[in-house]
Amino acid sequence: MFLYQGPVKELDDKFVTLIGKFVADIKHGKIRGSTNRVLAMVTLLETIITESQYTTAVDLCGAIRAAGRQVMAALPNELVIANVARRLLRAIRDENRAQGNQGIEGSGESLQRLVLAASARRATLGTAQHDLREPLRDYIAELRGELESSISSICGQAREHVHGDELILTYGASPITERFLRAAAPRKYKLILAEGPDPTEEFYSELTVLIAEWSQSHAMANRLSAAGVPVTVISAASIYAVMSRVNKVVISVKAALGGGAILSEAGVFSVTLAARHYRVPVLALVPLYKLCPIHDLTPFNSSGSPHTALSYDHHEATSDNVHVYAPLYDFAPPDNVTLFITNLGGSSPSYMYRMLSELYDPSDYLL
Amino acid sequence: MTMAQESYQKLSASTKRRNRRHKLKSILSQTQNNLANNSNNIDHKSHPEITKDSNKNFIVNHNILGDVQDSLLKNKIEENIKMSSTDNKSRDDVMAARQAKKLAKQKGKGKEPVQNEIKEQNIAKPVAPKSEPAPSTEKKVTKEEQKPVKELNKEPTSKGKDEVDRAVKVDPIIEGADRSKEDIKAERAAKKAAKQAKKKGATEGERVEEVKVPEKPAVKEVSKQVNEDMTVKDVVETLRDIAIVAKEMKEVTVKVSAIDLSGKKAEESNKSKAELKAERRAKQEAQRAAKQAAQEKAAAAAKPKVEAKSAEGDAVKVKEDKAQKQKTLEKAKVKTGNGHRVNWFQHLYKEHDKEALKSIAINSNLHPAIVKLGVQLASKVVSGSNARCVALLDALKKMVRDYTLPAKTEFARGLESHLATSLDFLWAMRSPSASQTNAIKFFRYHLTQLPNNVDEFDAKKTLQEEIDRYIKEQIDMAGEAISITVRNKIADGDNILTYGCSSLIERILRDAWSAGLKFRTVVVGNRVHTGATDMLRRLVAHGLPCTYIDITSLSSVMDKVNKVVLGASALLVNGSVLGAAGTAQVALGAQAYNVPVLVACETHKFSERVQTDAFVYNEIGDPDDLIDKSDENSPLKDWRSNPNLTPLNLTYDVTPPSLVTAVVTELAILPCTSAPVVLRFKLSEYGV
Repeated sequence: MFLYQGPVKELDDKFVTLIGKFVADIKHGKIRGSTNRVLAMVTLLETIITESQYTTAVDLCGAIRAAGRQVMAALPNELVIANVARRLLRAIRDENRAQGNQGIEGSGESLQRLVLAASARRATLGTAQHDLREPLRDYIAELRGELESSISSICGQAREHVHGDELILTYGASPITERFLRAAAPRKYKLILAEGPDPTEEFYSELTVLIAEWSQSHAMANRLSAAGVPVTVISAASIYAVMSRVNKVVISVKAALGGGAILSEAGVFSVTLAARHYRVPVLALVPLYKLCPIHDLTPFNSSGSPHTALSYDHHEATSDNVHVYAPLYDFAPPDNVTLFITNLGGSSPSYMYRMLSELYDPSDYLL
Repeated sequence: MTMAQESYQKLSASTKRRNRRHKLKSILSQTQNNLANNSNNIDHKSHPEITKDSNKNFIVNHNILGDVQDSLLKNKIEENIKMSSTDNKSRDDVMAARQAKKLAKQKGKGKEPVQNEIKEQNIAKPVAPKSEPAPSTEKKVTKEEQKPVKELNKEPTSKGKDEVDRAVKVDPIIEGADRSKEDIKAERAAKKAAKQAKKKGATEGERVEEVKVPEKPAVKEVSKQVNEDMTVKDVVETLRDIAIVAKEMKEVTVKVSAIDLSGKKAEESNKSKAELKAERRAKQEAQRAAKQAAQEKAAAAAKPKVEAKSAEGDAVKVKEDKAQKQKTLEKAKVKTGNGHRVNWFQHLYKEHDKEALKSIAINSNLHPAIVKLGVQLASKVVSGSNARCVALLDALKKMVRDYTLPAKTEFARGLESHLATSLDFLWAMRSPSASQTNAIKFFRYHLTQLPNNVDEFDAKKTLQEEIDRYIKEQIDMAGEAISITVRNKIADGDNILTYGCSSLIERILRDAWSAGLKFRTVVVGNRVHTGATDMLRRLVAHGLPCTYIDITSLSSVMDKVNKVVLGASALLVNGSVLGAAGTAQVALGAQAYNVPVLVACETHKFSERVQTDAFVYNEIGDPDDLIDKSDENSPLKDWRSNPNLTPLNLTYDVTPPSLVTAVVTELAILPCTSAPVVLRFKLSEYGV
């Protein structure tokens, strides 16, 4: 879908096996949580870089792009993982430019450059032949540090956004919101937790046990209340009813899109819509690795098991006349989000495109 | 004496070693047997002797029954008293409890010679003053203990034992009532200490437990002695010994209270070992004294009985402890109860439905149909605006039919007051919906329209006819009209989205399907309120192709939906729609996708209330509904013990007029803001 249709570099068999194992681990739920997945991807690409014989920019780019493509093809829902490959590609380009001393050309955002861009991506790499592996290894260590600290740096901003006696609404359960709200606990705010469908996408392979939905939201409510935050649990249907009293909405995202839209669990559209109706600020917690160079997601979604919407106890669920849908993701347009809180600080949705060009090279938007 | 008494004595002899409850049970069964015999005997009226006998039996039975009831009643009262005394309540409470106990006692002895009653009062009175020095109080207590013994001397009937039991049980209570708060505290502390000791070692514990009821075995012994022709002098001596023991007990309790007063309740469990030891020693001494006093008089054969009795006493104590624990639990609940109310919904909380169900007055003047409806409303068996309205009118009809006019009362006034009490009851069960309010308004209007000198029969007939007419016109025919109107708005191939469960929407969709329109219905539900699955079931049963989604998945289907048709609980005069929680969210989602939203609402649901958000008026549903029932270890299951955790289950929300394209009524398709016009029109047309 988002893959570049050009020729792909052939990878060694051992790397293909490694990629296969990585994909299997994710599918079987062995690696849970987006941070862990991203870190695993970094490790995978690092292995490819260090163990392969490629040294030049062109070869390294080809290998990483090939690996990224294979992973993306196997895991189309995991938008975030491909971002690691994009980051590395950008690093290779930068290093190459630094080594070749041709950095004057800029990082490629000028209108002129965009319009007059070289027809082939290969051409942008130049012809210099440097061994880039050493600087890349340093960069990977840097990247890993950034990924590991991104959530804590977002949570460090919690006290700037949550204040005493405020009524905060959050939707569904996610580790990052939980940490964020926990970090804000000394502010003595009150929390409304609207139970989300908690799509168990991390567990939905047959090998793992399906955790009862909603229980994740409830468990999070329980933990936060134990941490001293007064929590009111409401059902997803009552969000509009209480929204008029809410001061801020805090949500986590699955992926942030280039235009400032967000992809998150099902129901987030309704939440942000209600917030917008009442002009309540919506804060989206976005570690930068979740920022994807994609702008439109209309054809993108995947369905969860229908029994999460209508349990099989209801015999009408099995009737031929009835269709039951339980989509996993929801898409909220940029207008519905007030602020992105990234690990580099807050930024408005309209600024996300700039972040994008700082993180990735425009020619790598499509792997 | 009579056969029954003999049998009872035999019975009591055989059950002496059993505990009290078993005894009561057997008495009850015996009584039932006797009663059965009676009825048999009465059948054979040809035998006058048997009949006579049976009559006697009957009287005795009555006595036994009375006893059983007495003891049951007494147990209850005792519990109450204990609770109140241990609760450290005010003196008034203690006094009240004593008064109640006294009354019960008198009641129990109603059949006995009046002499007894007088004596009792004499005894009870001197006890009343509270600020008496300890020894005198104890004297009085001993006096009281003397009383049952004397009674026994007079008539050693089967009842005697009961009497003694009662006396024994009552005494500590009276003492407890007389004591100051500190003393009560001390007693509790002693009990607690005893408990702890019990935990420490079985052997030690046994002794301590015996200490807890030092007076009991003694008195029991006395009663036994009396049966064996004891002299009055011996009795007096025994009682003096008891008094001494009691004194010692008091000393112990004073000691304990000294310990207790220095700290607080929590400290009781944290007492040092040395203190505990000292307490235990003191108690053991007291107990030894008690034993000596008992043993001096008691025959060796009676000894096992003492133990049995003390064991019995232990059982009672354990019960008391349990009661105490329950009480503290209740207290905790009450405390957390307020903590679990969401502040901004404070005004909406009322006693929970389950509590309301308990408070139904069974022997009230309410019509059974009203009571039934009340229960149905509270338990949400009858839910939905139309269903509640029809059920109410139906109950009213039955009430009117069975209403008997008191003498010298105008029909309208009499029925009005009767109606008012019924409605008070119903609204306490569940606050009225707009449809119900309007129906009552309508009913009252027709009640006042009745002529003053109307015949009762005619009035009833008129009212019943009016009710029928209301149901037919306002609900049935209005529904049909709306159904036709909406049908004209549905085209072949449409996707119609609806939310929750509404009888009117169901009717519209079914009618449209029957009329040959080919469309698909998208039923949107939510997890907490399961109405939508009922709706889905009914539609599927009628053959409609349906799609079901949760309200969280709204955006995934909204782009394919052609029309949203929603039901309403009420249409407010400012144009807002009061609907099931989630309605507003669906309307909002529809607006975001530019899908027209039609609200189907009969004009009898139009309300004169105004409301801008869901906070002004709402109903707080059962918070437990939020908790996943299928999950045993649901993380929320302990929310009652967690003051920071509050599940909130709202029933309604308010959709602003800006989100609603049009309201479909039986009169026309109107904009929301025409609600006042409709109300004015109805006022001029129907008078309501």
